[in-house]
Amino acid sequence: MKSPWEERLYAVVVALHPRSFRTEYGEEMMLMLNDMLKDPQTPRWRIWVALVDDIGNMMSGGVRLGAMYGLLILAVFVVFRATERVGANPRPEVALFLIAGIYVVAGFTGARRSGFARGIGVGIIAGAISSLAFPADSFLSGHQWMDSERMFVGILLVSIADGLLLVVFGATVATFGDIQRRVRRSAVAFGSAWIAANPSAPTLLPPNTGDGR
Amino acid sequence: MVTPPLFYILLSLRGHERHGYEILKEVQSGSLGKIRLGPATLYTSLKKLLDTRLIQEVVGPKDGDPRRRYYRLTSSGRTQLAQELDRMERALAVGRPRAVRATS
Repeated sequence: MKSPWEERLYAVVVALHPRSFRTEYGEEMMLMLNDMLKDPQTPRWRIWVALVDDIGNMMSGGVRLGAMYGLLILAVFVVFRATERVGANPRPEVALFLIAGIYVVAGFTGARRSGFARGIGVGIIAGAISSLAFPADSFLSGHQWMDSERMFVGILLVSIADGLLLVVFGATVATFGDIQRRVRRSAVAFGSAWIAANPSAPTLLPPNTGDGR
Repeated sequence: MVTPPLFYILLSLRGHERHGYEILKEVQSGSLGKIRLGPATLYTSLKKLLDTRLIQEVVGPKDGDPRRRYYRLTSSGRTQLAQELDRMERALAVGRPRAVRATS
């Protein structure tokens, strides 16, 4: 039984895997889905439970880490608002500093675990979970963010941009050595290609006198 | 010591060379349905076993689908599997009489 929509959907899932893995096993994964769908002994719902579980297994490390940081940001925010509510006068810059720090650490630890891109991914998950701060804020302090759509969208965009910048900073610090090596390699490759294309151009290298020294 | 999914993959390849879906089904039936692997988990596990040279890729049957890859145990894979089975047998020998005494 052919099910194009299921195959198309799973092709998207396959595309989300790291490129090297996809190149190596992507075709076989699709073939396996085909086998599963053709198997009369396996009910459809079981196939999709297995596939969802599979995605969870593949992503669990980064997602868990991102979720942990997201909940931490949410906790800082909730504690800050709750402190305000009981009449204390908490300093907002302390909460902001803590939240900013958590974003940097999310990018840093994610990138340390599995590279720059995954570090950003961990930060994005943290950001997505911490966005629950909006409904939490409405609940705790009565702020009605949705009353003014423009303000809501503005604050959301600024928060996303700030969070992303901090995460990128953390991930860059974690992979700085690697980035430095890549930039150096690219610069050397560019320089060599340029010198090869312009042999008469002045160079910083000492002239070859041909006396073997 | 290998993880349960890796153990059942090794077990599924004992005496046979199989392709991915056959391994998946064997793991499921061998573990009495306790271990259900998805394609990504299966191929990640197969990659681990290939990297540690416990299994190897082989040419499939002539009449088979050329897109399928077949795998079989290497000699170190067979040794590893035998060691795992031996360890389990010893654990059973130690644990089963005690468990029986405790329940009687």
